Amino acid sequence: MNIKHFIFILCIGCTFQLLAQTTPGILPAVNINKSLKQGYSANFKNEYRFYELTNKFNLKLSDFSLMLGKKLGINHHLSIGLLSRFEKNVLIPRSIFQYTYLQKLSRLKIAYRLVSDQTFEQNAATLFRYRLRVMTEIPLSGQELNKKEFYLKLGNEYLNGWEATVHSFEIRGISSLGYEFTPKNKVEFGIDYRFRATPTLRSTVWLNACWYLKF
Amino acid sequence: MRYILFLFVFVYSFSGISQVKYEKERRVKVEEVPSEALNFIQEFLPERKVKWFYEEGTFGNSFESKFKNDGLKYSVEFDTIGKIQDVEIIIQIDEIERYVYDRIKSTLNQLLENYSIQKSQIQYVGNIYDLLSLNDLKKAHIQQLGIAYELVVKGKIDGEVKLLEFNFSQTGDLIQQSELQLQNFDNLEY
Repeated sequence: MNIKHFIFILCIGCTFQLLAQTTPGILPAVNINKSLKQGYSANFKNEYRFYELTNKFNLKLSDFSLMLGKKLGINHHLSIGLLSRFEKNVLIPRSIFQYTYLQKLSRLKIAYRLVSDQTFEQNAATLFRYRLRVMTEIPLSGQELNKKEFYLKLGNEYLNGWEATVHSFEIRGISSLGYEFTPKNKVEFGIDYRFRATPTLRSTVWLNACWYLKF
Repeated sequence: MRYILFLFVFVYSFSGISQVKYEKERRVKVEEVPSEALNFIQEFLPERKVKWFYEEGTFGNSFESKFKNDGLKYSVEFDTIGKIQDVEIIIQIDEIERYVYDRIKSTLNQLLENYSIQKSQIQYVGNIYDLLSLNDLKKAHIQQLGIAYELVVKGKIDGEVKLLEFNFSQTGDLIQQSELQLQNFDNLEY
């Protein structure tokens, strides 16, 4: 058994362990990217959040985000954008500033992402969050990911938030199984585990499914 | 007719210098590998397990074995009937002889606005006997082998980031330049 199979089995094991503990919500999303001239790019993401309530899945919220990115160097990427969240018929806007450092190793692709976002909710103080995420892609056959091949995507994110004087801290673990139809067309299914340490203890599990398209 | 032939050779020679290179590799089992290739590796590394790949590319298909030897990453390439093509070893860019490295750097500086070297390999070609000697680099018949350098470089040309593969001769002359498909990081970024 090689290391990739070990990681794969470990992820499956952890997934079942988490699913057995709690009822997961569902996070379907579509992620569309467009390369523009002179190193600019645009990203549109639409994500829905469903959770189970009395054996029925209900729509909790939906997010629409639009980001404009610019390559700053060979491996550095800066993006700014806006997210519109619709929750209980209320629009909650969020501004996002994102810096990503991309690294390609012989087998892995790694993205280190630093995000600062501000959520402006009516009748509430502005929520400021600082997030650090490391995400990696591991091809399951061969050393490079080619079309019509499966891959693993593993990630870890740390979120610090301040809403007025209230501090929140959350850790997220993401593991997905992906399939690359073409380098510009990928689908991923997986699990997104979120553990909030402060101000209140809370752990949630989401089953995510995302379709990535690039034009 | 001579003019057409000349034009064809002229255009073809430029297409060799810069073109988009396609490569797809998949892991293969030992049973699928030609016996001549297996015999070479058996002699090269009698007691070592190696990984075998089948690579389809712009310049033809090949079998490739990848393994570590003395802490170095080796890649030995064979044609589809198992005939040895070359032995490649991943190196650090500063391991290349100083004056060759300076020539390579100067070429890259001329061609690219900004770049980062993603991978550098030294490539040995020669007869089986001399290539087999590369299993112990201290005793290898380096003088008898042809040497070239292969670099994978992420660089900016006309404001656009591209992934390029450069082949340099032993003395640092540019032999070939190909464009590789740029890795898509969108699913890791957003």
